[in-house]
Amino acid sequence: MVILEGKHLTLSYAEDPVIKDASISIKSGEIVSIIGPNGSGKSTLLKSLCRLMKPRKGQTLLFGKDIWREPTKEVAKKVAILPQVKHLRADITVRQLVGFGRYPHMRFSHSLEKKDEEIIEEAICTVRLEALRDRFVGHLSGGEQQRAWIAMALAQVPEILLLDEPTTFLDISHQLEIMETIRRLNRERNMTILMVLHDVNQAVRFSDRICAIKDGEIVAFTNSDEMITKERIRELFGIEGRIYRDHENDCPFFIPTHSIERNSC
Amino acid sequence: MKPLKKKLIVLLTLFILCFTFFFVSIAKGAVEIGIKEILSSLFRRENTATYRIIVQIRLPRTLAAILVGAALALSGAILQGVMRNPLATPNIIGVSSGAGLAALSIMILFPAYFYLVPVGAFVGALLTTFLIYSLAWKRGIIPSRLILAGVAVNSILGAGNNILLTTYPQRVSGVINFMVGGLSGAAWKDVRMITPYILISLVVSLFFTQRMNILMLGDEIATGLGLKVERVRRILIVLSSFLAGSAVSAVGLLGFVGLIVPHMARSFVGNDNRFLFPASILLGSLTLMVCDLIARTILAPIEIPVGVIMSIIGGPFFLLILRNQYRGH
Repeated sequence: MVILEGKHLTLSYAEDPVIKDASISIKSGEIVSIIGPNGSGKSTLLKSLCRLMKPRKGQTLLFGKDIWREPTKEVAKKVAILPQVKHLRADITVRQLVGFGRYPHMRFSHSLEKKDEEIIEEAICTVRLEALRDRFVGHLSGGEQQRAWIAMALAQVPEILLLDEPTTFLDISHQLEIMETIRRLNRERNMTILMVLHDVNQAVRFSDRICAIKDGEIVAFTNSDEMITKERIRELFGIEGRIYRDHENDCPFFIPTHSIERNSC
Repeated sequence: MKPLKKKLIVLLTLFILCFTFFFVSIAKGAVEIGIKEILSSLFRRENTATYRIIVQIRLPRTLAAILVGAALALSGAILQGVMRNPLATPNIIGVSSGAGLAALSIMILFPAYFYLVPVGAFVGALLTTFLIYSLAWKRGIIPSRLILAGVAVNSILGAGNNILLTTYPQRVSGVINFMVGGLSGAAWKDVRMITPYILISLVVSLFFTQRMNILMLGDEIATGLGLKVERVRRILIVLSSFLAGSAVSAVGLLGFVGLIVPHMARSFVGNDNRFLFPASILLGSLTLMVCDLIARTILAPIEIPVGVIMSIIGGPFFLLILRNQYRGH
């Protein structure tokens, strides 16, 4: 069942559109990654799918309803977002940060009830930060901070989780930890995941389907095996490489060899 | 829950200090009045000299200090948070200058309409806010753009003020008190005029502490959590200029409180606005009462403008806090 759908989206910050007439639909329970070169419009497309950016043309449907006409708090109960730009004040603990995830569910008084506390605790356990729950988020490592933000999103109890480059700036072990957490959420809770990823191999290994974007247009939206071909990588990123098969994870694996000379003019 | 307890103790202490200094402020001055006399004259309402000093001079003055201190401090705390900038205060982004220009124009150009000064200051503050807001608006507000627009508007309005002062040098002496800010002229009519605006703004802002906490996580996170970012930001900015405008209309350009008191409050209770707002309110009232007390007693019978005392005492105190904060990290 399609639960999130972008229809003929045209998106722009200034005059020139960043995304031109793009349509994408996400089904319940799947993991979808958006890949593409820098500046291709990946993040912009993601933003328009969760009402962070208003499309110039087209519409975004959440469970069949226009996301811009739904009350924003109702949207927040179904969709949680982890954008790239986040601000953190110095003295906020993990538990407080995760507590903000309850905001869309709160009444006028903004006070946490027992049920909220349970959900917060469960979210903290899911990302395995129990031992750090009373520490300041700003004092944690990059990977732990990212997990704290994910826990905040989980406290919203969303059906869909959108993440914008969740592994950027993290070392390889923390990257893996985040990706495993995301997959666990998908498998154990049937949470639908849509994320922007930089690492093609990561996208291939952890996604059901991949959406490739270049110059503001969706050039392919298919499963991992069909996505990773030499031709496609060349078209997308302008690089040559070899493709192997990772038999243990049963997915293709791309190793870049050299970049193709780009026209200097 | 130790940190929570500590914060509540800080708030309680500030409240007790405010309460105490309210009476100290009424007791001290050119004529010293005992606490018994204060209470008896307040309750018996006999028309003695003491009663007149208390009710007609010191009580309105102290109440004005409480209201204006709270208003300026909270106004600064709100702006600093909304703009995510420690320097953002009403007098940096031009709101106070707008109030000042309106007030000075009346005082210098139309001295016959002197009684319109408070209203003018108030309207000036609001108009400036809307001007800055619309200048910085482009598919939503970006805080840094609003600050830059504010600084530019501030300097334009400042130039306007200077033109007035240099073109009418013979009338400057009459407005000096307004320029440096002081409570010496504070009377019941000022208190009556600003009380409703300030009280309403204070109460409303206390309903927005948690929303502001969320807003400070960034626009995208806040939107994702279901906060109406633009609307909340607009309400907070208007509240802030309401507070600043009311304060300027009563006591003139007394800006420093709005910058330093929120930072002092932060060093006591942290950045959680649920504690920062009440702490700023109480500490603002306390600071202004204490500074005004010093201003009118230290060189009695000569009175020093409270703005001067604020800067002389508050400045070094503020630097001390900054230093300790950096040492802590």
